[in-house]
Amino acid sequence: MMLRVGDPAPNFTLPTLDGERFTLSDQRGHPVVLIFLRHLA
Amino acid sequence: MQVYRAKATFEHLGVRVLFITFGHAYWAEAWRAETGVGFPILLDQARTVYRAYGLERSLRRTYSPRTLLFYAKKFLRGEGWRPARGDPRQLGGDFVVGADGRIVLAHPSRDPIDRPSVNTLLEAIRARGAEEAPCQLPPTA
Repeated sequence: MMLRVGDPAPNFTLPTLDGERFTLSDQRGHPVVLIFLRHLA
Repeated sequence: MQVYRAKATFEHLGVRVLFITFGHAYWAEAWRAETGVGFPILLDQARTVYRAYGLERSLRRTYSPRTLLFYAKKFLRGEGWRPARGDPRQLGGDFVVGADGRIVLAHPSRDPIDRPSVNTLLEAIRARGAEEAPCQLPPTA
């Protein structure tokens, strides 16, 4: 599925490296930049 | 410029920046120590969020002539090369989500070296900010 400008961003919850949990929808009211990494070289 | 070197600029704009990796936490910790990334790193080993954002795995794109040339030039400049930790076929991508939860910029990578610049990300954020909060602009005389 190709996301386009104006589409609702798919919500998700993921663990952080520091052991917390992050939910995208909790950030409503703030712009968010999501950077999906390739492999860690 | 790398995004993680522009932390102050993103913070000044009230932007949350998140790095997402499908790699193991051990390697993510090593990468954080090496790069000094000050933004949160999210772990998606099952790659469910990668799929939700339409990010492909592609052998053809990973080893495209453009990519091979890029890494060959790096190697010849003496910048070294390290093997991939994890799945080299998984492509990344960059997305800006507006304060309303909608996509402002979508940039799934076409190949491993296809990433938007920091300025492109900042321009998308600033343009959306001006649309969302016109009343916060300074009054004209």
